[in-house]
Amino acid sequence: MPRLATSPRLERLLILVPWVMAHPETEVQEICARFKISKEELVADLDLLFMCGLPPFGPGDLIEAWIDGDHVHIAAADYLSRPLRLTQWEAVELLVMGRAIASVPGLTEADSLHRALGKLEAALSPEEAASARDLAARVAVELEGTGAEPLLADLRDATGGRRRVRITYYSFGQDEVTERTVDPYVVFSTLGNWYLLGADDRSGEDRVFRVDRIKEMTPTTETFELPEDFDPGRAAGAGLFVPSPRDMEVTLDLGPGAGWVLEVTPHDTAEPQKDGWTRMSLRTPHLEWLERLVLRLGEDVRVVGPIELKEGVRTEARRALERYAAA
Amino acid sequence: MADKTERLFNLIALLLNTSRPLAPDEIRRKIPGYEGSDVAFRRMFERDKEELRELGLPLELVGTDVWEAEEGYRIRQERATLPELDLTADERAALWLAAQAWQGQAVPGDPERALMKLTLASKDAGPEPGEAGWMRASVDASQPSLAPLFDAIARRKRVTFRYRGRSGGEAQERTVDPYALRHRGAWYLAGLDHLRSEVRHFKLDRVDGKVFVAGGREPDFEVPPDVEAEVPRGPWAIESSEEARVAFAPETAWWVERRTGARREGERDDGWVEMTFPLSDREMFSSWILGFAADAVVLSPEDLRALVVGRLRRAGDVS
Repeated sequence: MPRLATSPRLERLLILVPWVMAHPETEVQEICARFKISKEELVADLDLLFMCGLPPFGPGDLIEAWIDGDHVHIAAADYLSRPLRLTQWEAVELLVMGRAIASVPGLTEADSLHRALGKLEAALSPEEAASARDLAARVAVELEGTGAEPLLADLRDATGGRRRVRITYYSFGQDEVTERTVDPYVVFSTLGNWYLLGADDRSGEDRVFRVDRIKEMTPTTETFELPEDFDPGRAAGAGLFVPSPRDMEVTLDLGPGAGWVLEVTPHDTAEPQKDGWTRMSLRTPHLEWLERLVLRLGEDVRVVGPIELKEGVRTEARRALERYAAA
Repeated sequence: MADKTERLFNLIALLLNTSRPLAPDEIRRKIPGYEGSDVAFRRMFERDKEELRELGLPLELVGTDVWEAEEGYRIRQERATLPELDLTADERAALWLAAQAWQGQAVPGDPERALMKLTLASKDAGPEPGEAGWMRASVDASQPSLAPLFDAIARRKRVTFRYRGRSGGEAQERTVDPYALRHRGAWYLAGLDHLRSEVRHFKLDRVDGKVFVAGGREPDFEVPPDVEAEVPRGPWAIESSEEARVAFAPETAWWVERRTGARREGERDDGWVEMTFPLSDREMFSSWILGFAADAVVLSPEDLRALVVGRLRRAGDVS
């Protein structure tokens, strides 16, 4: 059931108590990070716990909860020493995403994941398990079917083993198939596609590659080191836009039929105009993919700038017409 | 008056710790925060019980004496807490991949907290899964419409929301029996659209404002057994009896095959590859083809070819 009515703070307290009791040596800072709260919030939580306990709420009935140097002390709450059962939605969300990830081809974690999901279901009551399964069937996440499948297993080995790879990469819209050497840092899925983030020898920069456009990949015998401050979670979360010194500023006016472009294109600004259109600005080192986007959108887009993009669209359209004349 | 979180926490502690069922009046005397009138107490206590159930706590109402003349509440610890689990470190690490893939707080459960519970309940508690790993799956779960839709799907409740079509424009109010949610690059709701009396897919990005869930506890509909919840992957994947034949440049053809699953029907001497696709919506299909610029040529049907050529002429300023 939805979290709407329930206080997120209460949910946090109900796991904070058993967790701290099981990990008395953990430092304040780590607890804050783990529970995604500030130190002030932790102090407020402990102050609240200190007011709680069992009737008649005498000194021996109240929970002991305070910060003791670098650590947190919680005691006299034995009735909460074990974690509570999963709520229905906690179970459903793990099941849904677990199944989605386990169905990604080439994933060696799939076996562990299937075993873990089996144990998770076994920890639910039969009715809860049935209802969680029913809901998990009606909320589904798809991570496969993007065309990246033939490469994921090899990418997993290369990325996990820090092995440099040679790739044949098809830059969509640039009529260009390039050979590159890449240090594969992390593979991630977002907006319905799989991407590889890595150091690219050709540009000398970190670049994001769409996995389904890697035509071929061969591991080399060379290995690499990840940059010292590299954080795969943050890098993957940063998404698809990697700033480059060769970036150009592009401005497009999008008509009512082109609203979806904003949903799938990393952009800097999107401002609604008086006529119901939206002015989108973005930075990119390549105009070719935008020429194709503009062709695709037809009457639903107006190129504001740069002039090179307008000219590129015209040239591309004429090249295509020549093909039609020939075929 | 005690804070609500404090009152609920104390209520949970009391009910978990009691050896015998407690009657509502007894609970009222013991827990600070229930000091109001009888009516106010009953209303408050009803809401509190609902919250406990939402937290997954199995609240039992049982007779307090052998004659069962009076009834009381309790929560049995062995039913409220997780049993000991034998999740191994690699199984927890795999679950962690799933938990962290939910990006955003708009879903009704917190998968990372769920994983904390599971880890605490594990025999070999060991270190908690860390940040290592070669891959990250991420699914945007920041849309506020997700929580009410999860709820409505679970309880089979009708929903109402304002929706902008693909072509944009004014949002229209839609009333929908929500059957299923699918994530394929973006979230889609499959459900019976009362406006059109057919099953439609709604992209949650285009829901404008709040999703309202109908009141009442009883389900509003049954989900038909053969409901089509699949979202077509693209304009090339919408079923139709009609076919379009397209030729692709050699450097593009392999990718189109990989992406669409279409098979090559023939290869020409110059390396261009011909493929066929089901053709339903001509506008969508021609836009998709135009995105290939000079790397794709529509061969048939003639009207689709003319549509693409017309659009190329306009874009190329060719009269």
